[in-house]
Amino acid sequence: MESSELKRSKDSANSHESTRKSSFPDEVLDRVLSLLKSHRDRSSVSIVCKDWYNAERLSRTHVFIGNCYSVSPEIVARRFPKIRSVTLKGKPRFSDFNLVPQNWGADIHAWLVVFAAKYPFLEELRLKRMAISDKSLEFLALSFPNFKALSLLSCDGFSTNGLAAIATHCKNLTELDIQENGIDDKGGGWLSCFPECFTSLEVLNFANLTSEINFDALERLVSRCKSMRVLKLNRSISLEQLQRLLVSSPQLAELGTGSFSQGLTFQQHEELERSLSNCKNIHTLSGLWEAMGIYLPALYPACAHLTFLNLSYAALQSGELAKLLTHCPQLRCLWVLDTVEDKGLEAIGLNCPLLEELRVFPADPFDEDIIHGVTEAGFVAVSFGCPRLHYVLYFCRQMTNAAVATIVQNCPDFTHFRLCIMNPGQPDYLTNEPMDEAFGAVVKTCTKLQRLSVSGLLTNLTFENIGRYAKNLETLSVAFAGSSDWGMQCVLGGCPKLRKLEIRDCPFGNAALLSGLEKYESMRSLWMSACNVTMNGCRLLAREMPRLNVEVMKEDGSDDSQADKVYVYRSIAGPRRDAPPSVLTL
Amino acid sequence: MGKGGGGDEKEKMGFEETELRLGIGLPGGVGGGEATDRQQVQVVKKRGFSETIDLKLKLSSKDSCGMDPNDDQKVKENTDPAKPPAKAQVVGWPPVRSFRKNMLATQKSSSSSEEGGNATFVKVSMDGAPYLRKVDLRMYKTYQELSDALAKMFSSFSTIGNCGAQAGMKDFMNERKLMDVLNGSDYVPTYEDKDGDWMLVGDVPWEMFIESCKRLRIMKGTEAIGLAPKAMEKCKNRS
Repeated sequence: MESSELKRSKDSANSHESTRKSSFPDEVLDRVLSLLKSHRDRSSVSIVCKDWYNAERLSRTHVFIGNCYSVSPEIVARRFPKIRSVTLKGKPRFSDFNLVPQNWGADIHAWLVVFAAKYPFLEELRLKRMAISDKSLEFLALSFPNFKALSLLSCDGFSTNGLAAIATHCKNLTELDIQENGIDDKGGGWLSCFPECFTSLEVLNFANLTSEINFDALERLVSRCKSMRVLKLNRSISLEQLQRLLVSSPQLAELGTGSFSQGLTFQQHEELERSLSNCKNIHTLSGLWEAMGIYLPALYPACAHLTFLNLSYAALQSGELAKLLTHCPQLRCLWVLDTVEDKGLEAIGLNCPLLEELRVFPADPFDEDIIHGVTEAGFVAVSFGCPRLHYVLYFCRQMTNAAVATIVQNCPDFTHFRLCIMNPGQPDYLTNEPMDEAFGAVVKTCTKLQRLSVSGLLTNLTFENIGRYAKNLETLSVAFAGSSDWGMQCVLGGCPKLRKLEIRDCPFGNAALLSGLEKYESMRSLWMSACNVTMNGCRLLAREMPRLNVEVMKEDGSDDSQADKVYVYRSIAGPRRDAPPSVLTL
Repeated sequence: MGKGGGGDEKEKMGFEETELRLGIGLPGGVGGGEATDRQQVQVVKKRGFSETIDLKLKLSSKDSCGMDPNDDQKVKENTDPAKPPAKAQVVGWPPVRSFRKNMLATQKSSSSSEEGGNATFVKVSMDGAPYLRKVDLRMYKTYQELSDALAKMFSSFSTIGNCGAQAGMKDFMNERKLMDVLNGSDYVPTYEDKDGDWMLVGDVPWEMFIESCKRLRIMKGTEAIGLAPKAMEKCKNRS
């Protein structure tokens, strides 16, 4: 369409609605677009017409790339010349659970090289499940003089030496957020690399590193970074040291404590409590490694305004949690270990009426002799007390259909429902029925559901229901479930908003895989492992859908015809050229 | 890991290639009937690399009606509480990030070593025994001492008898007799190491063993066959 034609047709459209003839000057469009932050809104804007496409792409400063192989850095740079902030995700999510070979790819370096040339003013880089080497970190530190924020989540391939390079060279750094990575922790010396004149740090998260750092260097760093609002320490920091840090940073909004288990004198305890009560802005609390119940009262002063409490590394008992929660009436988000048991969850229901998100992690996921943890009763108790609950991640060893039905009746606003019954294929333990009814209730009642993880014994009925009712579902995770191809076909045939489908150990084969041909182009990705898909099925898919990348990873010793692990994703960059030998691109 | 019953199916699966680090078989659909069975066996064949456990074993009697009577026998065996559950660890399940797994593991081990001082208590189970025991590995200096202690501990169960257990374990230390022992009905001590693998006791130097042993299981020799090749491999790789 010619842009002048477009302009005329836009004008005529406008004049239907108003008496004056309105034109849409570029300045107005630019101004409006500059206020648009959401990448989805921007995507919508960009497909209105060519003018809007151009206006949008020239004004975009942050790009979000959900699958690093869906596009190439060159294409990104060509379309968006003014990017200052990049979020990139790499490996399939199941790589978190060791299902993806080590050298699979998602290396950031090629991106950095392009960015160094095209975005010399890059300020922020947020990576999830990417491979990043020390060399890349050093390259990053040296190539972008304005670099401000680095966030690494679930990444691997680097060591603390890379962090040292960042600390040494990034003079304008405001954020260093290192979370849950496969990092080679070679020692805490990296922290001492921040120059003495450096004062800009606002976010420092090294909670998941294990080595001891130089505490004096840290104390000096924290006291001169007056804008620091997020500080998450690692286990090497003692309670006493924590107290000293709090004294020099009362402005903190998010605090991750160090180890919470050394002996404290009464006076030290008092001092800690006092320092914490001076931090009037703390709304997020985490860490609490090896928390011992007797020291928890020191936290009480900080609890009054707490909205997010992460106790997922503190093996608390129900009583300890209950006491703590009586001080946390404002909680919106709570993460706990299942050591708190059902009684602990009951306390949540009683004390946290504003709760929106609950995650219950298993303390001993692989020890089957232990029959503790949480049951359906705890979940039900929370649902009665927390009607605003909309995000749940729940690991348990038993569940019933009736309980889930009650839960969603109490909390119909679920957007994220991730239930993991840890024994694969386990039925309702009271009735011995499959858990179909449970997830049927979830999808029928929770119309806003965006993300669903199913577990337990499930037949195709579950997937029929998902396909039919889950109109807003975007992400579905399935394991050890389903009876036949029909199940997966139902999901692919329904779920209009499906973007990510990850399946493992299910009896879905080629018929199911091939029923989603057109669907896959509207999705980000499909993962299928240990299912019944064959190489021929994958080849057919690859042949029919040239705009999809179809990748197969074979297990050692498996049949030649079996496609053990299949990863399918749409891409405008074509098949990737950096696949290791274990990954076959069809 | 149950060997009783369903003999035909086992042969199809290439039993000689079994390893204890197993994948999970697909749960049969309820009322799946023949088609599902066929599908399951097919998948199992195609898997090749591991023996899959028939997950139907975990299901209620409602689901298992329609299965052949041999399977019912399997169900009984596997609900024996003294036996560790038939399924070994499945890769990547439950879906807990490795990072979190490791963090919690180090927390557990550090706290328990603090509590226990210099003791290293591990659970010991024995096939056929109705309950578990706990031993402090640091109380012994050699495999022989441990073996004697275990034999005494479990000798009260009529299924064993003193000679059988002791003889079995002693013979086991001698590799030449290994296959004899395994082929017989003697008992074989196995342990779970830090990596979660099930190993035959006696491979590594004693000091290394007590560092890496998380729990012990005294298996019937016939059941330990799957471990032997792996143990041999680990031995070969080390030498």
